[in-house]
Amino acid sequence: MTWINFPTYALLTILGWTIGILMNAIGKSNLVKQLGIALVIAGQLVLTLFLLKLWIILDRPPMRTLGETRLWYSFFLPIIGLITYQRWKYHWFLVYSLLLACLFLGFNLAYPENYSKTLMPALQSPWFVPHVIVYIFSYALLAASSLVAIKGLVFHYFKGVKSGHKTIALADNLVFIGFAFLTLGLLFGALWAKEAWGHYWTWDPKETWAFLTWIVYLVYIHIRYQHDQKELWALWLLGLAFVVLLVCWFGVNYLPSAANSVHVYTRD
Amino acid sequence: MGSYYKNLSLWTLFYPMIQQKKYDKPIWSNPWGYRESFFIASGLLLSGFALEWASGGTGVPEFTNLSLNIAAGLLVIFIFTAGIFFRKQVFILWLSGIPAAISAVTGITFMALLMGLTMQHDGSAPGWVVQLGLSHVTSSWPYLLISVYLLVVLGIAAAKRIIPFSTKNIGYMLNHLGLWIVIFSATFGATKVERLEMKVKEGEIEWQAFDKKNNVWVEMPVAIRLNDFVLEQYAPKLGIVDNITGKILHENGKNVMLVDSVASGNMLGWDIRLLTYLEQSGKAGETYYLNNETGAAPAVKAEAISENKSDTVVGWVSCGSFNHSYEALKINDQLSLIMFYPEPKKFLSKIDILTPEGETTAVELEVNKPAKVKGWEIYQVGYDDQLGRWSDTSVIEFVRDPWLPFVYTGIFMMIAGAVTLFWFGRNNTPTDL
Ligand code: HEM
Repeated sequence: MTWINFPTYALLTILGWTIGILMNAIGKSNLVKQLGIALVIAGQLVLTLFLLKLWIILDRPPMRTLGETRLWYSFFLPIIGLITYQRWKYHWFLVYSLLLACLFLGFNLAYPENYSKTLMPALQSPWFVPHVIVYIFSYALLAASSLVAIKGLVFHYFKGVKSGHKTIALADNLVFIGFAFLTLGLLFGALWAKEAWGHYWTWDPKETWAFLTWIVYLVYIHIRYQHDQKELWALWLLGLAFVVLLVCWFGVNYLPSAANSVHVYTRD
Repeated sequence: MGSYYKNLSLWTLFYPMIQQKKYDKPIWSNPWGYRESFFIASGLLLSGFALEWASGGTGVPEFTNLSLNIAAGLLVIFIFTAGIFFRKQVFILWLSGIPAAISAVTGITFMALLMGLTMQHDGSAPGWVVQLGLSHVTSSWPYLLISVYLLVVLGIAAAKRIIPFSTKNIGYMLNHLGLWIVIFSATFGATKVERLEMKVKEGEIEWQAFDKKNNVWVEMPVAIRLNDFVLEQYAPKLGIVDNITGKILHENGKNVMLVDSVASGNMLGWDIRLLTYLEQSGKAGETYYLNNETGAAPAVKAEAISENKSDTVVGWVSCGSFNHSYEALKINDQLSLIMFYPEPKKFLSKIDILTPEGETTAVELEVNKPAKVKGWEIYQVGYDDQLGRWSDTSVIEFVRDPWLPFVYTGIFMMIAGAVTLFWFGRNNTPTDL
């Protein structure tokens, strides 16, 4: 089974997001700006509809393959962007998150994936959905925090602008919320593993890398607590953290140590 | 040296970060900071590797119950005394501060990184890898030493904030004490975890299970009678195989199609159409017919049409079973259509748990749905793979972990802690937002 109608849904979504964000950026009157946001939300709804349809057709949560998780990133990034925009008025951040979401959708358009309905018994658990959703939401937040850090670093080194409290404060907020969800994902995973395999933690390669990811953000939180002033350190640390997160997310599949991992995405 | 290095571009990149650090305090003079902390963490790791090497890579020996309990008790007493009565001591201040914490966490990260990059419990690992403990990180000396360091630092950091009690510290306590409880009970509990495997046949009663770790058979406090083993499967999948190399050309699942309601698909440019699907079949001459004897395998009559429509091949494909041979459909010199074994959708054992007192409890044991009896948890883990759905054997696992309630307590504290983190965020957020 292939991605039924995916191109239609994806293009509609991307269209809504692009036009919406342009209207919001260029529009002179408040009405046009608000309409832009409404269009972004409309694009979001189209994607939601697709996810729902996919879930029903597959008869299982669409969270199994890398392609499916990319869909969820595309789903959560705009939500995080919109909330951050509403709360702190970071327009550039909304643009970034939408761009990233488009990128994920574009990736799935360029490399269509075959859907498989099969889901091994160990994955058929009430824990599956909360575990994966919480993780993806947290990854999206943490990815966003790294975007903020990269912006801060670029401004620092190339534009000579001191990163300023505002940038790092946004990064902090994203990391705290993202880390809370990361912790939940890790713990839900442990509780589920106990149920499915009899032990809560076995240092499976994916678990090991999830732990490493968690640790890097843990260090960030503590460095920020103790050394409030060393913002450059913190920004670099966030950049590094993102690399570890990327390894955890899909690099693990290619590591030799992961040959027997239960977490490696289907390679049928 | 500053002015010379300042001209190098890499240095200019990092200079602003290092510039802030003033090493005006000689190392090892109080109060200790990052240098001392990282010295100690690396010292612990190095000693650990030396110990491991000296012991020939056999890892930390199994402690007796008594010595383990004494060690755990001493650790707790030390942490509480230090954290509550000596917290103003300059040494304890260091031992419960951020620099020590970061050095300990970095040390653990280093060990975890080694674990994440090397295959664990790999029999073919080279000698030096084993001798350094890299093939069994979690039971190696450096891992043990750095874990104890982490437990001490985290423990005192948490204990310090118990008194005076303040509601402002609740989130902090939930996170730190929760994590401490998890690591403490997981570390000390690891040696007490028992996992035993039992194989039981339909209609039979079994009370012995095998302990793989110690290589012994153990008599369980309950017996298991297997009344029925049930395996449900998904429909099989079709794929393409290279005739010469025998490799399956799956391209990440792209050239795989589920024999479902779908009647056609495209694989490597060939249009594949399903003409007939028999869930269970027997073979007579060149064709297959519906049959539900033991070992009856699924079969599909398929048509493969080449891209330019010049070639059409029709024939049967079957994955076979333990007593039927498989059949591939050769579509040209290079490629053949094959069927994969159906994947399990659900498997369960209908069992009776029998106690010596004569009680019988009927349970349906399923993956993700363990049963509990007399301090043991019972898991469905497998069956006879050769026989697949005709398996009359179920493999179940008995697990006992006496420290589990503590681990769970810690986990639930951390879940609550994560919620506070989410709710309150960073409390000292700068005000110029
Ligand atoms: C679930 C994991 C953890 C979380 C969420 C966490 C969070 C925090 C936060 C938010 C603070 C700031 C305290 C405040 O604002 O009052 C802090 C401080 C601190 N944390 Fe952690 N931490 C975690 C794990 C650890 C670990 C593993 C260690 C040490 C090995 C550690 C050691 C410390 C220390 C020493 C402080 C400073 C305490 C003080 O100066 O009173 N934490 N932590």
